[in-house]
Amino acid sequence: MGSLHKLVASAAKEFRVIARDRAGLALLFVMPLGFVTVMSLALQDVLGGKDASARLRFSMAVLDADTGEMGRLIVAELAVLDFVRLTKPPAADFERSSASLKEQVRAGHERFALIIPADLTVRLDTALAQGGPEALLDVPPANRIVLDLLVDPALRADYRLLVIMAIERILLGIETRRTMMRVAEGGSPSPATAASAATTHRGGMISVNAHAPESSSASAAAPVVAPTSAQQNVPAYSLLAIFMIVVPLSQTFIKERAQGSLTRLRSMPVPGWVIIGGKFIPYFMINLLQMALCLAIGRYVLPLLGGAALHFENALGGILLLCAAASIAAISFALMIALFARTAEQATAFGATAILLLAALGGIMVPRVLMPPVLQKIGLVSPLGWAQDGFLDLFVRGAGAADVLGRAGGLVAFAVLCMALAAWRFATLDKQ
Amino acid sequence: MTGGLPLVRIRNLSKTYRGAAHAALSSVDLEIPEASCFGLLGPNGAGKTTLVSILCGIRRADGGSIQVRDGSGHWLECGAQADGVAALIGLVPQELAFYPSLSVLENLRYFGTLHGLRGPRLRERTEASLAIGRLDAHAGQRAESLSGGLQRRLNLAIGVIHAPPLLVLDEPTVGVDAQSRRFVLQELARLKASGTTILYTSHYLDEVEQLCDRLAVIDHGRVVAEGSREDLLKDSVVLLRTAAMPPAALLEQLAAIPSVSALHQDENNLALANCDPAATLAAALQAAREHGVTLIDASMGRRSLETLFFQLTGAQMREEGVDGITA
Repeated sequence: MGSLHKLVASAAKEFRVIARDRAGLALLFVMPLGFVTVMSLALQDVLGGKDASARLRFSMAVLDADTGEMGRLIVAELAVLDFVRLTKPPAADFERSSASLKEQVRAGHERFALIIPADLTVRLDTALAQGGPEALLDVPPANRIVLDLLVDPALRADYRLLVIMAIERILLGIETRRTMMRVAEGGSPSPATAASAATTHRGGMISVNAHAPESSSASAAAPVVAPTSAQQNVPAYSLLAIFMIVVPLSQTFIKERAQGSLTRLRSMPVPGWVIIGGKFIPYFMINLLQMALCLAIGRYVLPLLGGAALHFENALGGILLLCAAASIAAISFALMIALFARTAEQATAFGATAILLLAALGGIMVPRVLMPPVLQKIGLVSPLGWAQDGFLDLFVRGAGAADVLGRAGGLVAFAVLCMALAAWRFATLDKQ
Repeated sequence: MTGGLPLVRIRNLSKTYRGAAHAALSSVDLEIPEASCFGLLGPNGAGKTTLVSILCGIRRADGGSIQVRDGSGHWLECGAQADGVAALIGLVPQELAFYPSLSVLENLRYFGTLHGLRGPRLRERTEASLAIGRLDAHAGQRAESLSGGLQRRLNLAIGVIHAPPLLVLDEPTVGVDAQSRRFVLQELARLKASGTTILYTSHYLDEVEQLCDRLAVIDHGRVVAEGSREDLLKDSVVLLRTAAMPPAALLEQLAAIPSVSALHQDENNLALANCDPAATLAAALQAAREHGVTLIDASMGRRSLETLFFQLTGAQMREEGVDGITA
């Protein structure tokens, strides 16, 4: 009870100190709110610019079960597209691969997955043999051979369309060549009829069914929507603000050390966890407030300024979970920096640089999908990236709190690691 | 000397910092009597700050022990986070150890709460501490807006917020104007008179000589002198000032005078600690004549703390060691 009283006093003291530091408050609140507003509006159109596709490379897993040559032809043509990076399916077995691909796309590890059915060549050849090229004209949907194209729901709609159209062009070309070849082999209908069948392919034999993979989670039953600039930028810059508390928090700690307050505290009957907890609580609450304000900007202010609104009504549990985990990670990181840095300048320079670097790698400033594959992989080490992916899961992929538990767990594990290093450092200070 | 029972007992205390060539403390034995003011002296890096840090639970000793006697006569072992001992000690660090953006009152209440004070007791002690620091008129003022002297007084007031029986002060008058310094010394004298035991470290030897009734000089981690002020300063001293740097032969002859117990030289100034000032002065004047050295001044009197300090620790500058208590 006594320690709890001291903890409350420490937290209250910290609140007062923070409230009287106007520059620190500006960093904590004005910066993220400004970023959320400006970047959400600014990037609304920029990311959809006409030159964007030239820089894009989307990962696509192709599960080719076709026993004939059609599948191989499709894969070969996909491989030469400069905005598609083909990856291998995760398992040799069709069923397992198919299920695994759905999870991978749903989780955002793959942007696309194309599933080519086993009887593609056989069915196409049979249709051509039975009905000739006319068989490709106005095929009822029920008779079409459908290739499943799983699409990451977090991918922008125009990027999706770019890839779908490219696949349709490939299919058109392959189907046309196949038809012409059969005509040349059989010679029954006139070449003019074959050409006509080919040019009206949009209603042809092979079609693409692009859709988001259904989630295995019940809570993810919410309809999947295409991500907006707000869905990318509101959580992104909220996270940047949350992690940026490394600057004020580490400075406070170092100042306490330099001014001797920490010395006085250590000479008093106060457990170490009270000293740490006294700092943890106010900054944790500040982080929650930062996130709430940023969400409010996304929900209510951006639409007034002509931007897309952020809808998060169904994801409050997940938001709270991710925000809490990100805050714990950020505060632990800040404490670690504070204990390793010798001066406030060191803490600011190293802390801010590290956070900006992790933010950039984690897709805060630029969505990871726009980065080269190597950077995308390096970005997986960023705790800000884990949190941002979690928010995209919530906002875009329709995930629930249970679905982001893993990402929240990763953030907490990062926090534990930082706290362990901080505790070790704190113990070694005694020996210096 | 105060004849009280010891309040602090230091036995065989040792500490060596990682990577250090020499021990910061080596087999230190001391006792601090209750209701006394105990001066701890030593050059930079001598080990006094380390001793204070261990006493206050900020650092751990490698060996030996420090014990503090509580109100019921039980000896409590000092160590990191030893709450029982921490409640008995009030630390006034060399740094201004408070929160600049908080007011005087907020600082006192905060540190008082951390000492476990609440309700009427907290109010009572806050008022008492404001009175000790004569800060009543500045209670609502932010600490950062106080003058240097007032900040020092706040530093002291926070140290006594829980009315500790043992007050530890580490260079409490550094950077303070003469008036505030005098005020701090007067308040410490009052606290001592009211029964508070004081452990005082300072580089201002005149302060220590004025305030402390027992002294220990520590150097290279060892206690080189310890006792009551009267005992340590009972020797007389003959002071000589030469016109030019005295030759080595003269120094040898002066040191060989039978009544001289120690010779201290600071350029042209010579101090001869002795047990017979008249005989020493006569012999010294004779020696100066024999060596053809012109004396500008010659006097005799009681040995000062400064003379004793330099005699024990030498006059040469020391490299900075652990300076100030840092967490």
